Amino acid sequence: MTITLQHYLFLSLVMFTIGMVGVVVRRNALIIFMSIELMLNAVNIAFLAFSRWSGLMEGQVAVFFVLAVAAAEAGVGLGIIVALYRNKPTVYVDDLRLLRG
Amino acid sequence: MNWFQFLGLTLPWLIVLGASLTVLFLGTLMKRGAHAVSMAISLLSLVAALFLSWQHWVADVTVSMGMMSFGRMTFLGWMVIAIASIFTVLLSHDYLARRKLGHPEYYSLILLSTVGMASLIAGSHLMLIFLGIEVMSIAVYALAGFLRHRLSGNEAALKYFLTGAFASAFLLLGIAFIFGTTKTMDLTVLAEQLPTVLSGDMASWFLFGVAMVLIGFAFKIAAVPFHAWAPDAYDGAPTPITQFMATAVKAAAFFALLRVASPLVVAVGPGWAKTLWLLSAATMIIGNLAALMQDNLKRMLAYSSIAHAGYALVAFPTLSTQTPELVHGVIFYLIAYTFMTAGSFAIVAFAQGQGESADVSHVAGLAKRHPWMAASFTIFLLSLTGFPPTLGFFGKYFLFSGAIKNGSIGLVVLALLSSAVSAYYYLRPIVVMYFHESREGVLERTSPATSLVAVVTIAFLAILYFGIFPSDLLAIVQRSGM
Amino acid sequence: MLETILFYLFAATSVTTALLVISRVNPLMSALWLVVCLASSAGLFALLSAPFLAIIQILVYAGAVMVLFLFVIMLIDISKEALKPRVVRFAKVVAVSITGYFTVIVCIVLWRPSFLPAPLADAAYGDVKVLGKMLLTDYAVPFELASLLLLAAMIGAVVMGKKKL
Repeated sequence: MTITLQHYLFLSLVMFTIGMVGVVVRRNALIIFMSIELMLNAVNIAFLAFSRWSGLMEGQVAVFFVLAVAAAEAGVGLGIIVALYRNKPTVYVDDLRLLRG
Repeated sequence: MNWFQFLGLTLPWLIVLGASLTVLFLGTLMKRGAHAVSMAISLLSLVAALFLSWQHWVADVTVSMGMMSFGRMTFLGWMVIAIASIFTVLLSHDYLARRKLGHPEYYSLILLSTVGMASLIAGSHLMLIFLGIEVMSIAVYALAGFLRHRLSGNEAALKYFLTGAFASAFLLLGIAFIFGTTKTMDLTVLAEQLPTVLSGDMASWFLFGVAMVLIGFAFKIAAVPFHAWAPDAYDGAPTPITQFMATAVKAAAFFALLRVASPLVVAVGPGWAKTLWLLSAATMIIGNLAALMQDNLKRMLAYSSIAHAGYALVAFPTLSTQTPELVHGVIFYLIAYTFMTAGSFAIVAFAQGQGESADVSHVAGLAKRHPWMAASFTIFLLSLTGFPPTLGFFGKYFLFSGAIKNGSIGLVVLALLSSAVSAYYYLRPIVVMYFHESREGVLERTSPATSLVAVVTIAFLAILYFGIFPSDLLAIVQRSGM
Repeated sequence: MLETILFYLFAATSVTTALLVISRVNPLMSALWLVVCLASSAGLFALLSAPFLAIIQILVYAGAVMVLFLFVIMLIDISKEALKPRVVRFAKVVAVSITGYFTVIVCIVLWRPSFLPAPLADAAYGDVKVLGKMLLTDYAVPFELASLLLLAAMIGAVVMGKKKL
């Protein structure tokens, strides 16, 4: 049995969905953020699979940029979480209910 | 690729980028006065960017290079974000000085964010558009949480960041599928390949990609049902940054959406028109209804900004390359919206004083103490409602008449009904300003800062002038092409 | 044959560890599983003839970024009592509906075109040289923009994280 494009896409969509469920269901900001990283990773698999099957290197370049974006988001996102923790020792987003209405 | 021409065309934003780095370095060298200097440098660079964009617009260069396509529409977009950022910088000085938060990093981030917006507006390649969105957003995530010692600031930044990153993942998945089916990420090549792709057996993959890109953009422009982050982020962020998010970020996202939508969504067919119809209707109805219940001015303006995104979306279901009047309607509306929202936030920043937020009761008695401020706020609010002869009225007029011409009568009726509802919450602050006695100590007796007055005056004059002579602005928009 | 076995091995590891990431109560465990998940994805990258990106994935992502995550988790040091498996209301309903929705989309998306094995890639495909050349010629503008992105992130992280600006 050979591996087809659909195998990779299926894997990518499954991982994307797992990440999405994590973001929607969990309330721990750190785990929500990790779920977003899972989604980005799933997108990378899709990019590389499409790239491999079309024989164009563009997809690989895109993955390079996605990795840069993920690293940048990690920097700022973790900074925000640390800043929050200084004011209120919690990482649960449902503990934050100052802004309402 | 002719690099000299490319650098010449991008010069406005290279200046802004240079200013951003200068401000950053000055912050380490100077101890005192760094705030005023960095504000002045930012302001000068943005004015230079505005002037150079205008020069490019006059020169009317149309060329595509380096994954960017330059044309009058690009330069117009650049001018809009330059104006919006100038307003932000002007508002920021007083706001930060009162809170002893005048750090150069703040201005550096604003300038970097505008550079991201500029490339987002000019980009004709999906990867460049994505990176532009990210540069813009990452800077704004940090700015939204700039009041680090306040829990509300942290909360705003965290919510904005998590939803923004979530949306980016959708956008990227969409780009991956579009790339996989069309084998290109360049929008011009993509438009040529559309017929082949749509008749091929990968059409469903392509549609899935377009849907994901649309979801990503819907998050960025805060369209219902992807709007939940907006009121919280707008409320907790520093007021000048709220203004920045509501005007510059939104305008840049709409310019990019227009560019992406015209090849993608339009050619795809009636199914998408229905989806966009629903998106637009839900956005304006829910935005307006939620705004009715707000006492907090910033939250009210946040929901109002959601509703206005809904109005702008009225043009999208029937958008195509054959409907320039719709594109012009949206752009005109965005420009009008930028002026009236920037002005309103300036008044909110004034009424807020040292406080964390501003309720409707904060503007009570404003008419007695600062009659000009009250008069301007009245004009801004009337313009947001769409009363003639303000700029807001003509914005709605051009947008909706274009939409009617293309057959979305139902949607326009909905838009008119919901803007009638919006009159209630826009008129309430006016009543409070003129007829309620001010509570002691709520409204300080201090006079507003010069920079704040400048924002209010510019916005006021623009709304009044273009309200009386709307054809001047319309001519600029119409001569910008598509 | 080896490729098929490796694909299923890496795919199974990725999916299992991804499920573990979103289901652990302690973010520390999630982060460790995420490292495994990203590393096995790197294996998939290598199978897709992207050796350079596979290495970058391990060095930058599974290495640097995850170390940053672990640093922050250790720094804020949530006590055992404060850790609760907190989820939104009707979490199961939400999870099942998202999964169901995506299953439908996956079926629609995956069934249409015929299943094709990978075409033979030419020798230059996946070569670091080609990738580097593209990054610095065709993609020069996005590449520069990516550097701005990292600058903005750096300033943002300092602004957020530093105690006294």
